Amino acid sequence: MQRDSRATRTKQLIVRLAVAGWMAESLFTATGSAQDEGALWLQRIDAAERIPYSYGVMRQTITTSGGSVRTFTIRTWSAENGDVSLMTYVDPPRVAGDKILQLQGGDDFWYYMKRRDVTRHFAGHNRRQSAMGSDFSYEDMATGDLTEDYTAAVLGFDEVDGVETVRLRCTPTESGPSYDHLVLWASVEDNLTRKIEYYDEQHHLKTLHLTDFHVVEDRKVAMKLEMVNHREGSRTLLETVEVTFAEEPDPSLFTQAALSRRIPGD
Amino acid sequence: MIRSPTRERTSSTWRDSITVMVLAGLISAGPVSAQTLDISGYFENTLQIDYTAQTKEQLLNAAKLRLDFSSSVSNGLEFTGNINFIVNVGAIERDIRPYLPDAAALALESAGAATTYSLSGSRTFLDNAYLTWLAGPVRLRLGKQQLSWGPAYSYNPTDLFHRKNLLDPTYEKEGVTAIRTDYRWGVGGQLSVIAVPNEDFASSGYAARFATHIESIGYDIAVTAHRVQDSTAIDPTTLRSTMQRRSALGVELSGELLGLGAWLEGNYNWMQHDSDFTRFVLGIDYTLTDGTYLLAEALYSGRSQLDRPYALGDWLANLYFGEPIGTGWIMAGIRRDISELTLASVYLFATPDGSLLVNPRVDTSVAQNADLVLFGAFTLGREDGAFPSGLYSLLCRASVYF
Repeated sequence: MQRDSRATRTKQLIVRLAVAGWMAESLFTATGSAQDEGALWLQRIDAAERIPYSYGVMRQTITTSGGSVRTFTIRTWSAENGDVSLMTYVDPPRVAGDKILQLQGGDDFWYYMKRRDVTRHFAGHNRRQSAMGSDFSYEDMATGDLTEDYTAAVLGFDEVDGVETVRLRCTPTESGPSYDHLVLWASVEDNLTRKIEYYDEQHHLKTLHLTDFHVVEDRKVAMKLEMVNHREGSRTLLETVEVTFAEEPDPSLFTQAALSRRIPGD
Repeated sequence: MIRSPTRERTSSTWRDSITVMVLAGLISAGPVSAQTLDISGYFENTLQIDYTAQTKEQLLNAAKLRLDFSSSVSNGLEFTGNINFIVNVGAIERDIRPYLPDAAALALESAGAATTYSLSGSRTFLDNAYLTWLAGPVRLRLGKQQLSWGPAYSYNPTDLFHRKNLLDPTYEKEGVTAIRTDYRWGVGGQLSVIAVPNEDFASSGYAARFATHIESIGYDIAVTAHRVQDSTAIDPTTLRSTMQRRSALGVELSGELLGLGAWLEGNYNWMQHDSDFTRFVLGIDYTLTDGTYLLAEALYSGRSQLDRPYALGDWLANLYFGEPIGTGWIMAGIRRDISELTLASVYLFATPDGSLLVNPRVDTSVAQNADLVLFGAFTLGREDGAFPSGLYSLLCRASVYF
């Protein structure tokens, strides 16, 4: 009887271990597959959003929690699939002529202040600072590859603005941005990002909404990007006034030497 | 705080002629460029209130109009410049004795030296005016221009052409008439050669800077060399500015260390008459995830007397030329947004003699093209320390841009 009892307990233990092992394996497989799938989605999004080169005019409107509004007009150039870009402020006069140069996919930024003829280098932690008082930080503006900056896991599928999207949890790599994680929604149909939520360890900090998609020169792009800052209660809207992907900008624009010189059309 | 007069500069026909050439270049561009000449600028009103126990409050109001001009003269050739019109009203003549220790003030009186200085009631000057010629990676710049170097915030040992105001170190500085050539390559690669003409080649200023970015460690590194005419020392006998040749070899380094931003800027100076000295700044900074910016800097200066009581000449060099007094300071600062359009910061300067300067500041955007800045300082320390107790200063600056 005792022996039977011992045998039964042993069988039960073996069964429990087997079940536990199977569950652990299933869980591991599920997590692994979510991550593999996440990586695939990041690749698809990178491919869909990769723009070899561009030129555009943007209008940036910052609205504070108190309702004050500041509007900027910016000309932008990008090349090398977004690894390099130059922004020059056209308006208002307070900042006209100031420029922001991005190199190496957003690892390095240089900010040129025209009136003082001084250039500041933003790298590492400095990229967390707000760009010109907006709700975008320098690292938010970085246009490097998602696959280099994040690992991703698929959280599910949702509808955003009437579009079926995949919901990804993106965790920065060691060389990635400073956020704890992002939740990103991208269209299942065209793989273009529709919404991003930015989190630190405890808080939901900001949400980026990408809307008003138009086809320009056979390329579908969001004409409005709005960053809502949940901590400050402010928001920054970036509207595309003009954009073209037809002509590759002069490579000399993406150099520090270009910061202190007039750009044709300024 | 006392606002010391600008560094004395020797008049120079060379420098004048370069500025005239630049203006002539712009004018001769005439009707062609008239349509492309951009004019912008700002009006700024600064009310400054200084207080010491001896002087009580002293008010100074500075109204400044800055007009900026820029034009593409032709392909690769540009003109940039600005004229400043400044009107000072109020306490434009200041007694410097309240800013000196008693012993130094007595020494100044007994030497029969001037105990006051005056700001001009009005000043109109060409702040910057230069022609830039660009040919690929080469840039040649002629005229009155900015020559600022160095990554440090509060003080730049490798910048021998400009001086910073400790209470407002990021404020614009008057240009220097010079001939400058830059050659740039890659990310951060730059060779600059500068000549600041004076009466002859021997008394002219020369500088060179070689900079590069070392990608493997993520550091910007630069080596600087200067040979200039220096007027920032005071002769202890005559209590007048000493003109002497100054040669300097410097280094600049900035990058990341253990996740912190880190920089080193310093040089060794060989002086014609005074003792040679070393001066450097070490700094670190960090941005928290909420955007709060933290900064610390340490300045070592081996030029002035290292311990109290500091020499009268050192005090006067400090007041008139912004030269550090004593061995330097340790500075700690914090800056963060207190609302979407308002940035607040506080900087603390502590010296080895135990004295302290506190420099709070608020910058706010009051309208699309209007800013308001409120900043100032108060001091805490021994009567003969670098920052003796009892000095107060408050500045309110309103600016509108057009």
